[in-house]
Amino acid sequence: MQTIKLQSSDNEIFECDLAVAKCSATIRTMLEDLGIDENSEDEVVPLPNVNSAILRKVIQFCTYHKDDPVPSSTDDDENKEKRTDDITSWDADFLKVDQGTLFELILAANYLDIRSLLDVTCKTVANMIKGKTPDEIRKTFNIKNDFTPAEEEQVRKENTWCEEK
Amino acid sequence: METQRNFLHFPLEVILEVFSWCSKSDLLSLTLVCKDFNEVISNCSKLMERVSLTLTPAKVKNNEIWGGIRKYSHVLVQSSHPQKALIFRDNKNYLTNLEIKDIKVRLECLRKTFFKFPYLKHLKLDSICVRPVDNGYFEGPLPALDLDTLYLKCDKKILFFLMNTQTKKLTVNSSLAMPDERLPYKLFLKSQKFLKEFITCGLYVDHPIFDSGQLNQVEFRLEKLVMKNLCEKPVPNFTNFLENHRESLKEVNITNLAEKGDFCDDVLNHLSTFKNLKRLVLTSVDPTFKPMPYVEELLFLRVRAYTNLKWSDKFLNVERLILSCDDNEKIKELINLKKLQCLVVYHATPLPSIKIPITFRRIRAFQKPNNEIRYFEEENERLRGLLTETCNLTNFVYDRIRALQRSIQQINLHRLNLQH
Repeated sequence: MQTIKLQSSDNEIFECDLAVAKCSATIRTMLEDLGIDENSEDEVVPLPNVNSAILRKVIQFCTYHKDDPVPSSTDDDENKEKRTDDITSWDADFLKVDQGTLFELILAANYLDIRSLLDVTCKTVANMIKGKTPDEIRKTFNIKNDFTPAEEEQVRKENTWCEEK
Repeated sequence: METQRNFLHFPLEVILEVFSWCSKSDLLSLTLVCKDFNEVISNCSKLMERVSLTLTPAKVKNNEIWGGIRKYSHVLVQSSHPQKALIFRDNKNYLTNLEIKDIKVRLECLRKTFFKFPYLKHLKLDSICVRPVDNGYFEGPLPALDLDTLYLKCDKKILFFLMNTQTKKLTVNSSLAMPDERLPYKLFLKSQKFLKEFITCGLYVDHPIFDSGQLNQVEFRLEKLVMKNLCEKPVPNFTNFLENHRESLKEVNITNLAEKGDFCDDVLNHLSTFKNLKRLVLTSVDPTFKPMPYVEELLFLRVRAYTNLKWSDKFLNVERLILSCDDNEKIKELINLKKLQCLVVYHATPLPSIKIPITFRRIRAFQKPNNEIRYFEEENERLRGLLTETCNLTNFVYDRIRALQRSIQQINLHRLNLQH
């Protein structure tokens, strides 16, 4: 089994299967661009935007999902209603982490371009938003309300006609 | 990498990615969370289209739009200018395609042919703007409608269609001043129960619709009255009409550029006793009137229209004053108004430094509207409000620059890695 070494931002080296690492489109591109092939055993791929704790989680996710079929996106898919209630139990358990880690995973998925991880983490955040009032959302994500009462009223007014009565 | 990140610090594409998984109602909630979220959602056409479909003339011309319309629960039909009706190249196609039940449609503009549309009862109308259409006939009346706003720029026939309609805001223009238009208009006005805001443009104030005998028994009570008319002589019936709304009127806007200001003075004298009238907008020739002790916000929009006016006598309690004025002596007088906290001057001429009372929260001057000139050079406490706003804006810009720098850093790192 071919392996590859990934270096986190805090200089920890992770050795993982090449197939697992290639779940990341960013790593795939880097390997091609840097000319690292199957025989380059000592090459290390630096990932300065991902720390060791998150990289460990990412590798765990990719190892579990490495044999999943790659979904093809079509126009029909784009028009389909996006569902957030289809997270598998393994993914749900995997994402039982604190909010900071979840956000780090989203950023890592975005940086490493791992579509399946980005989708499932974003779905998880969307589920955290689901059905909440603006104030509850602010509390959940520790966001400050920077609207003046008049501005808030204006947005509310603009939204009114879209809301079901 | 930081251990704890705030959602707001995500790159834009990641925020959009998260929001793309949110339902319509959640997106609406998110617009109310903070300004950044509101901006992100409002500026993202893909997200907005999940909330509503906006039909513009350009989109309507493209027939492909009709194929996908059924997936929207809300459709906003909009013209580029609110006063202009949409002219659809294929109007029949447009109407036919609106034959969809359970879709909420807000029509900002209507053509007369819409009234022939048999599926109207399935549509919920929030706001309509009706325009006259030549050489046609109407079939009506419409089913009972509760509107937020109704603009009437049409002949009397349209009122027959709207006889069951209730609206909170009504705008009418001079076409209804024609003698044969008055009766249906008066009847329509009398039928209103919830009217709060009444705007007339070019309607003579001595128009019989203000006949006290006709409108003294109206159920509605106005909170805002806007009169953009031309009238010289005092009109007894008009003050009677005003009297009905003595308790409810909070804002009056009078634009009357008649040579003689007698009508205006008469109305202002009458309004001076209205305790709940807090905002007065006046564009008039040299008014002379009694003190107005209840007014807190005053807008005078005619330059040199008040040469002889003694402000300190007239507006004892005005807190906010916006006016067009090129008379520096007058500005000096205004600044000493006892309760004045905010002064905005348009058409100002450069003025040397003035000593401003400590109670002032804000003062601004514009050479012409939207073109600010700064003539208060000295640093003082009164400008703090303005400075805070500037600082907030600067911080916002710096935040954006920092976000951009972070992205550039990431790209550079990536590039370095590739070079390795």
